[in-house]
Amino acid sequence: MPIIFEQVSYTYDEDTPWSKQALLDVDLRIEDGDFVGIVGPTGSGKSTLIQHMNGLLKPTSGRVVVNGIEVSSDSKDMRQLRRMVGLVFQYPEHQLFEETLRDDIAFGPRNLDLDAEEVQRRVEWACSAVGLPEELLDRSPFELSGGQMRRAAIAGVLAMECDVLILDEPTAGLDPRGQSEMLDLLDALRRQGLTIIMVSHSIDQLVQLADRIVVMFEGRVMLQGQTREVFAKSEALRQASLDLPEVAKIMEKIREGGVPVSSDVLTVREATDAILEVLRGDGDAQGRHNHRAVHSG
Amino acid sequence: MDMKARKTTPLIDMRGVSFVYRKGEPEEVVAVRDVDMQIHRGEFVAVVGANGSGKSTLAKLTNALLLPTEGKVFVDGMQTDLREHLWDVRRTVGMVFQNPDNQLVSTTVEQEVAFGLENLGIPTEDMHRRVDKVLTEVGMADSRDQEPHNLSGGQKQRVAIASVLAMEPACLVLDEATSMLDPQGRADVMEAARFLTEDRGLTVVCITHFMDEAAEADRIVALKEGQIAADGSPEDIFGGGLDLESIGLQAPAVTRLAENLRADGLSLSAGMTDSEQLVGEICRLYLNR
Ligand SMILES: Nc1ncnc2c1ncn2[C@@H]1O[C@H](COP(=O)(O)OP(=O)(O)OP(=O)(O)O)[C@@H](O)[C@H]1O
Ligand SMILES: [Mg+2]
Repeated sequence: MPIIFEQVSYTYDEDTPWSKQALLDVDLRIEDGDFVGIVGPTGSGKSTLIQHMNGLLKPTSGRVVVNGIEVSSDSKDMRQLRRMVGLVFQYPEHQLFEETLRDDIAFGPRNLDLDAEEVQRRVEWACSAVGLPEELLDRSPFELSGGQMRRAAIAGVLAMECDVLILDEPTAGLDPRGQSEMLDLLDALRRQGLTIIMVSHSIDQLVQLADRIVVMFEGRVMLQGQTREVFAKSEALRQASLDLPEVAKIMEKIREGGVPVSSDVLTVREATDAILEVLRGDGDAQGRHNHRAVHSG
Repeated sequence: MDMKARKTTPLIDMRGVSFVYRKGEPEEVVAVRDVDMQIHRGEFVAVVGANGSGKSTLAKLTNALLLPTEGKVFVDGMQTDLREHLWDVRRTVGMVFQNPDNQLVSTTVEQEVAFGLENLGIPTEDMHRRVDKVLTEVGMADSRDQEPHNLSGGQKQRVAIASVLAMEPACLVLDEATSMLDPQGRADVMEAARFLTEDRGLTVVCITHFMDEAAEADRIVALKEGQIAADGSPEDIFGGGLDLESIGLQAPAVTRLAENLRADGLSLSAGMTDSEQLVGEICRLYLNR
């Protein structure tokens, strides 16, 4: 069942002098199995938005309905909601608290009243999925490096085996190999039918994974649509102080230098093809387009 | 780095440094292993390496947040494990971490930045001037009256950096301080760091997983399992000849693009890490096509 936002507004510390409007009239619909990327500058409301999806925050006005459960209703429903929707926070240490890493990752599954064997299976699966070596399991989660903590926080949520997975900057702090492994993992989970919502600053990553993009700006949905279409609107992205990928900037400079390469390039692979075509002089605009289509994905 | 700088005392000097967490216990972890490293004034150094390779531990050794379990660390000639130097060492090397939440204590951004200065007994007028300057440098001047607690992660981070800068340290250590910022915020911080090195001789040590960011440093130190696996210019590190994957690294986008094009038969220089150079060479190829 979908995730629906209708005219949602949210104000932090309402009725105080330091109240802050973080969401304004947000309308959104996310279908089962969607992979949605949420982008926007810091402070644009991304984290506030996703915390509505598992009931951590409730709208100040408007409606949020997740898998048929209305966020705002009683706490029994909220518990059920949190079993369906797993949320990985921006700062992993905010969700680590147990004595050992093993207990931390097992915390969620244990609360689902699973038997010990199943809990064990899930802990092992989640650890290997995020690339945490066994020998760390008996350590305190606070005796880990930053990237190890990030992996631990993600493992804890994965072990819940939720239908909907929401991740706030899941690759921040991961080393390059860890980043690409994490993206592969999310891709695999999507293929298993999970709904995935990922907040990210990395257009590079979202181009590889997301079906749709929601651009947040000053608490509002500034733009949403198919990934390529949204990222083609570079003016809008600039306004949302979203940067183009490094390779797109290089392409822009090459164009400024008088080489007519395509402007619709977001990955290194695409850039390679676009440059080769122009330099080998075999591509009119149409041909270029077809050639690129072969390599997309 | 110029030769003049090389002759002076290094700002940070590590001699045979190891660090072991829970030393002597069954679960001890050797995080840094026998490191010799010198960082000179005015250098802009990126530290890279896989998760758990010892980067943060190394950083904490530079301002006495951790003391070596073996070897010695000198900061501006001061041995970090001598108590009498502790205060000066911490003032010389300012550190900003990935998550600023625990570092922010005041009710306004301005007070937050002024906090450390008050403790130093800096005159009010001077204090305002400094606060103004550093808030502008990190692009947070407009938010001076806001409550830090209401800021977004990236905004908080810039305030944390401003607070450290206000103390006018000789060296700024950024432990993935940009990793939670949006690209604009990241660029702003890196630009500020660049400016501070070039204009005022600030030394910057920047721990990062962004290879594009590392490629902009003067020098890259790559750690692997607590040891220095490579130390050199961006060209030395990314230009080929090093097995990047085995150190958990990846070449930056510009290098990957250039190498792809070379593999497809274009005659470009090997191992480019500078995008201006790549752009120039491609434009030249186009003209001579
Ligand atoms: N407080 C601690 N107690 C015990 N071991 C620790 C502690 N902090 C870190 N470690 C371990 O020391 C090693 C080096 O950790 P460190 O935090 O220096 O790595 P890092 O290179 O900064 O990694 P990351 O990229 O993930 O931030 C790792 O094996 C880590 O698990
Ligand atoms: Mg670290």
